[in-house]
Amino acid sequence: MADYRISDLVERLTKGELTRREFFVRGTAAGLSASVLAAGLAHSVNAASSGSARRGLSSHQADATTLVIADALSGGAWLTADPGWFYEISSAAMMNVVYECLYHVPDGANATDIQPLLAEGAPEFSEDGLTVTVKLKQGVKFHTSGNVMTAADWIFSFNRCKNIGYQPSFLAIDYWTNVEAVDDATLKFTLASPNAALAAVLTSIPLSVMDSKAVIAVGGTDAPPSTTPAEGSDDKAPEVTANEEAKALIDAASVGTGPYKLVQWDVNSECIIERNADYWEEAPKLERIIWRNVLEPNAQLQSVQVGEVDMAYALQVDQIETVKSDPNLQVINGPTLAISYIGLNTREEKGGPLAKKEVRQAIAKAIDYDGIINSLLNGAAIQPATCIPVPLTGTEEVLDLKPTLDLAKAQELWDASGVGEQEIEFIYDSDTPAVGNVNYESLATKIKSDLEQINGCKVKLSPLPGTERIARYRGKDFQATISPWTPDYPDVDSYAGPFGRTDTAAAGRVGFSDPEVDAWLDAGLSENDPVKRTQIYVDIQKKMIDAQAFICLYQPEDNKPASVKVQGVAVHSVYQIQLRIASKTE
Amino acid sequence: MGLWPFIARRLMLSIVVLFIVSIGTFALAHAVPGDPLNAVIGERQADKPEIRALMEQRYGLDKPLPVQYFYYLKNLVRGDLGTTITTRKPVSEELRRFVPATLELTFGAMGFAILFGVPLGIIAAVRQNRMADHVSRFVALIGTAVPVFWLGLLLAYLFTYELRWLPRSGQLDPGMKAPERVTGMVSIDALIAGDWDAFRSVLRHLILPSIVLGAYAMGIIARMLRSSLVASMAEDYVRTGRAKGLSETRVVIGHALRNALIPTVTVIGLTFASLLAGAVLTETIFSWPGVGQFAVRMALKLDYPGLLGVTLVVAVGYILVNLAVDILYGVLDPRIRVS
Repeated sequence: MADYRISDLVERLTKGELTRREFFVRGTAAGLSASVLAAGLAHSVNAASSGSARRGLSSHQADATTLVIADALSGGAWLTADPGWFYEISSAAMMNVVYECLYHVPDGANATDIQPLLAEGAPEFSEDGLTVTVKLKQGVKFHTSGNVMTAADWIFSFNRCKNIGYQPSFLAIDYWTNVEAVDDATLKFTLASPNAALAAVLTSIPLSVMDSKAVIAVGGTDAPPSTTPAEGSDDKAPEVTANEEAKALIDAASVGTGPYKLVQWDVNSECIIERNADYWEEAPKLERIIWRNVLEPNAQLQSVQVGEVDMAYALQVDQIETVKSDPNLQVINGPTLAISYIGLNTREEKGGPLAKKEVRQAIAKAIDYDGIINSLLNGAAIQPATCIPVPLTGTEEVLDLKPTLDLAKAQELWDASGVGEQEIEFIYDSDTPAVGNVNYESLATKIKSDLEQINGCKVKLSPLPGTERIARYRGKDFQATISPWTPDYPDVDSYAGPFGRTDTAAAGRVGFSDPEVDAWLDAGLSENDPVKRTQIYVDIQKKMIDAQAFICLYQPEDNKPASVKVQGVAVHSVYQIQLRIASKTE
Repeated sequence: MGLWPFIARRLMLSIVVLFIVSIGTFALAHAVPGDPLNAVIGERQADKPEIRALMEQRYGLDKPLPVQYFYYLKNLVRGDLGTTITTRKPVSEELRRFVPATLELTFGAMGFAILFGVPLGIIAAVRQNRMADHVSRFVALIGTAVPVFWLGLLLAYLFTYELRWLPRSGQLDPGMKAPERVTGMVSIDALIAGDWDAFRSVLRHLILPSIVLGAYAMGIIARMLRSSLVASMAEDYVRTGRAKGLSETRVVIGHALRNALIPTVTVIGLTFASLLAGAVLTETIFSWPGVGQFAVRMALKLDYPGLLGVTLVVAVGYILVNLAVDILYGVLDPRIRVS
């Protein structure tokens, strides 16, 4: 019947038996019918799938035991759930509730408040500070296997992290020369030099405890790599290969002690953790937490708005008010320890005029920091005095010394330097946003506009793919760069060292070197008295401010959109989100 | 030449093409400034030469380029595409995950493109220079002219945010367990498993990305078919058919269309191949886990093994599709034999 009507219509059309008016009338009727039919079909499929008559895109909305979070999992931010290989940022929220460290930071708004987690009390330092004893909690069991955690598991986990030799390995190499089990419940660290930041280092997720027996059962090992691997396309020691294969299995099923256990790892779809009913403390309120792969920030927000997910990671600063104005949504907000900074190459052969301190100080005085924070971040950021973020040790004490916009002073410094007309090239990433979801192009353009207010200063902007930009930065082949930094662990040394110590990380790249600062850095690490330690880092920062080899642009807040049903979730400066006490209302 | 010798010859030539593609990709990837090891060496270790040396040795990057290529080919012959530098997973495993998802999306897009493009082209041709023709061509123009990302965001806003009819992203509803993997295409696997909830869910998730990805192809097909059908309908055999008293439908659909489809089939084939490789924008907007996204990630990270693997897969896709198109030609028109 239908075929006849269509063929009839075609025939009448080709024969010209339909006038234009009739065509419009019948076409409109057909179109409307088709639309109504399609709409009805979509609704019925929708209703059949969700079992709900209105807006029921997913049934989890009514489920107060499941929290769904949208994040760009497959964009390269979620790579592994194996602590020995883990060095990511976004997935720290998940890792923090699946694996546990000796110490942790319960409150992300107070990053310096480090508390014992699987340790029983603070670390006990010997007189000379070179031996540290840590007692372990008793009766803690691992996921699935039910094996009881002992000191041997910690030794295994630390050695495995060290011997895998991947990005986080430095955490198990640089801070102690040896770690041994005194007994099943006691660890002893031997240090090369006293380290007041040790407890902070021990909050790092790569230094979480893993069930050694379970890891060995899937082929993992803590043995050091053999020295003569087989010849082949890539020379990998068999121990590394074994740990790679174990990683794949550990990614699928966790071997930690946390309040949740990992049950699904699929970064292209969803990563799911479920409540650990045998958790050594009170079991969490939620039954499941699901991270759903949603790549695009707008899509993440829309997913929250329509109820497809309960919260999202990304929120553009210009969307904050939109979320706040929705009675069904909330903005979960908090500080971060991330910074965006300018690195200026002080070596004359690459830095040119930047070798002169007056030029660097002029640049620092020409930047409109408030303008950057207000226009590009909608006020959701602060400006630290140096590349050490607030509120780490000594930072609040130097806040009044932070560089401020003063064009007259900037011109005076530039003229005093005698460099005359100069062009400075800034390199920055073209394919990723800056911290705080700021567009690098906008930030760089703003900086160029500010600096060219100085007579004689010209700025050339060179956006580069991330791999190329970081290669040039690490290779010291740059004049000026805009770069991010995020913490390895929540201690002032995590920033002061890389930005202040000669030939180390960022300081090495820009050529910043001050023997007095090097000595102070050593002193700061060994100083346990908080007042004295604070003064040391105040002095270090004063030197940094004077040298201006680095200019900190901003330290952003983090804002995440969420349904009003989400409770007990906080933005965390170390773990991104604190989910330990997360819950959801009906 | 018979069909089978033709296919054999084309496949032999394909191996040469793939070899050239692999050399070209390998050389270009290494010529681009940047260092893939920067993705795996942290900031703290970046200035330690011993760490860099260890990583270069571990990833085989300490060898001369020809030696690296030799080892790559040696492994390729055994079916080993290597391990990605960034994710440390076998490239073949990653491609097995992504390629079926892209195929699924591409089939959906081509289905939409053909379902709407062919009727639009036919209507435009039989009602040439009339209102129906203008409307059809306008719709086709919209499909070809509107940028994918704009169309995707617009449709997502309309159907997800405003109307709440369709889901925003992914392949399945949140928390829904995927059916057991057989083909890797979730819709097919759901059918095989008899999981109707999953089947319905993946269909709903497939609608918007298929429309977005298929819109351009729909426009091209409609335009191409219109042109070739208009030309076919001017041929003598069509006049003869009408004179013999055949119905207009029979003349158009049964005779003229068959000839008009030949160039359209070429377009369909080439469009299909390009969709395989070029779905990255659609995949990003709808978080569809396809090979386009993977390719972009590998390119941005300069991940040589991943980049080579994706390039080879896309090249194979183009070769196979072109071969299928050539064979289809012979089916559609016996005069066009493979000589």
